[in-house]
Amino acid sequence: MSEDAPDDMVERSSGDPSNIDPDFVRRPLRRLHAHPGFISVVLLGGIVGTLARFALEELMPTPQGFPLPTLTVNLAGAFALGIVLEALIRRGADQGHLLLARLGIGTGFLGAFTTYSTFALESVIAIDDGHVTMAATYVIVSVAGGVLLSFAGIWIASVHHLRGLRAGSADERGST
Amino acid sequence: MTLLVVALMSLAGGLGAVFRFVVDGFIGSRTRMALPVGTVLVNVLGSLVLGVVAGLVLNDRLSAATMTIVGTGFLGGFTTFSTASIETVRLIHNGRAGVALLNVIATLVLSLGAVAGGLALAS
Repeated sequence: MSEDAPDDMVERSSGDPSNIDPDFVRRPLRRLHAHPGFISVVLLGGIVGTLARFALEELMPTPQGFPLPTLTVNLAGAFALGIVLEALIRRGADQGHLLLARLGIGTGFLGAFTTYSTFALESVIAIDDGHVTMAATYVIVSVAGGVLLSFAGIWIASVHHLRGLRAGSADERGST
Repeated sequence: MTLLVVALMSLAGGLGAVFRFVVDGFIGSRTRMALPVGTVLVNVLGSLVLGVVAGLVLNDRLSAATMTIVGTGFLGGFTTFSTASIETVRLIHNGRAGVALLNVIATLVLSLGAVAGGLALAS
């Protein structure tokens, strides 16, 4: 059996989720030996991310019942994921150590650090309790804030990367 | 809140992340849509289950420890806010602002509805 045989599981999809989805791994499903490593780093990152979220939830207050802990982890996580993914993309192809870093930090840690289900539950409970304004504020700040902070994270990582490149090329020019 | 519960919660969270990774990968290899249905699915499904679990806890049919392990742990790891956010941004960067908005609205409405449905199921 040829190792280079094309995998129809990958070929069939004409859309490219790897372009959009940071948790997606474009891998021929037949090469199963690659999978235990991926799952291990996601598991490890997920364990640590869950613990970090729990710690923050225990430490942060809920002023007048406002779900500040969940808001904090979600916004911080959205921002951090922007930085991490952009930094990794700019370091090279999504394979080897960079891929493991993306899966461990992005999919594992930050995926577990943030939570949509808790956010949704807290929103519904707030509405059920009649705190509609608080619920609306929570939802809007979470969703809009998350998108803006993801943008910001990506932007900051790209600026930092470009500054590094420019500094490098300036050094080269100065040395001749 | 014992150390054992915290340990089980953390492990459950890690497993939730793995489940998300596998489900998302499975769906991603089969879909052609620009909409990131893998992430939408895990978030909505996780919200539904959390609604059920929370409802059972509110009716004293499940313990707080179970809520911590399954709710904070597994479902907290299974669902993700950060990935949903990034995917929305990526869609905008790719000139798919309409799909980006759909991603935001659909995930939100379906997840809130799923939690409410889960709470209702559990009562």
